[in-house]
Amino acid sequence: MKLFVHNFMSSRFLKNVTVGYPLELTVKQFEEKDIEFDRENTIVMLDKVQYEALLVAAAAVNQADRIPSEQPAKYDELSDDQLKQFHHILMNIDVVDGELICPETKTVFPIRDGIPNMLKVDAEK
Amino acid sequence: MASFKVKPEHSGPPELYYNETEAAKYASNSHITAIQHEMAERALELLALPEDKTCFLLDIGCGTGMSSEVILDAGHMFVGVDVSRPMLEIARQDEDLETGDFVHQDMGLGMPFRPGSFDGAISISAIQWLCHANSSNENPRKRLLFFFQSLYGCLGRGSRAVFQFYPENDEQCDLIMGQAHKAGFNGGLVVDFPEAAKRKKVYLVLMTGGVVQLPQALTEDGGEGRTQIDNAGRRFVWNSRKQEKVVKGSKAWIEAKRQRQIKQGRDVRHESKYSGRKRKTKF
Repeated sequence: MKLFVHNFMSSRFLKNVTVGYPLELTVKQFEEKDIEFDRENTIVMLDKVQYEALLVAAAAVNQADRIPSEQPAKYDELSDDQLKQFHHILMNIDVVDGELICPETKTVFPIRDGIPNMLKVDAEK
Repeated sequence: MASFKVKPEHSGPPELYYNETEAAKYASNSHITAIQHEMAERALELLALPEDKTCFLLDIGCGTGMSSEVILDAGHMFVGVDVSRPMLEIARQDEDLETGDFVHQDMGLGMPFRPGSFDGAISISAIQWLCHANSSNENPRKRLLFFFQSLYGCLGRGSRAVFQFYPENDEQCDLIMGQAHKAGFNGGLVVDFPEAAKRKKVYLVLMTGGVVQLPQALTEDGGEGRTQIDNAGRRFVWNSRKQEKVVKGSKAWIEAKRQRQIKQGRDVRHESKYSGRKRKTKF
């Protein structure tokens, strides 16, 4: 699971969850991929990203120092080098093994082989 | 497990049907690939995304990522959701799909995304799976409604969701559409090639916010070549005589009869302005 997906995921579909965002992320193992950098796409993606959640995700892989701790005012004014750092966090880091945890119900969603499993296996339907 | 002519959704839950062998079969079948490709392209067209802009799309029931490939080819980004893990594992190994990502989730349990995440959603041959209950605590009605509600939540305002599916009957169509409308979507069915049994494709086009006209369906005479010949030279003509027939006893009728009898060489009275007139009451 790439880190940008974490930014869009929420556990609001669970019962008795009002916000369910951002999900807590624990990473046991991750890979670094090498996906081509595209300035336009990175900006489009960043416009949609919630910055606080992105910091949470970056911290989970101990790479929070790659990006500024305050949200930049305008993404399209950033230099290519700065955007490449964002691109690295969003696209290149692939969580292979870990967990997503609902912040309210503490339901655990395992990530195995890079695919987060959001199925509720429990019987409390 | 399943034989031909049995709809796969009738044979059991999708996560069991699409096991390793079935998923591998599915991914390597060139016929399926070609059709899925074509349908995904059409679905993308129906989404009516703004041109020249990269969009972030949701691929529901992405399977092995055939439709996701079309999204990437069109220059957009995607996240795929499917309930079959073997299918997702095949999709993840595909290097062409590297830039997207996949989530293992059952549609009926809701879309696990925050509000306004996506610019649109497509789904190729997936939604019919929701119409069947595979265990006693599954209610298709509720699952469909919950799915549409959660989808509505994670789509941005003014965006669309396009579902291609093979409806079994009208009730199934009504059920799906009814639940979609209940969840707040506008829209309806677009049926491409309605007169061709094999090429007929049904797309459910759902829109968030605002009533917008549905896109035009494709038909045989639009696009690639005609398959029928117009029958213009062979129209039946016997109907047109009926219109010619004049009222018996009218002036035109008398004149026509006179002409006919002249032709036959009979002795007829000369033409007069009085012929066919009614006598005065006082004669």
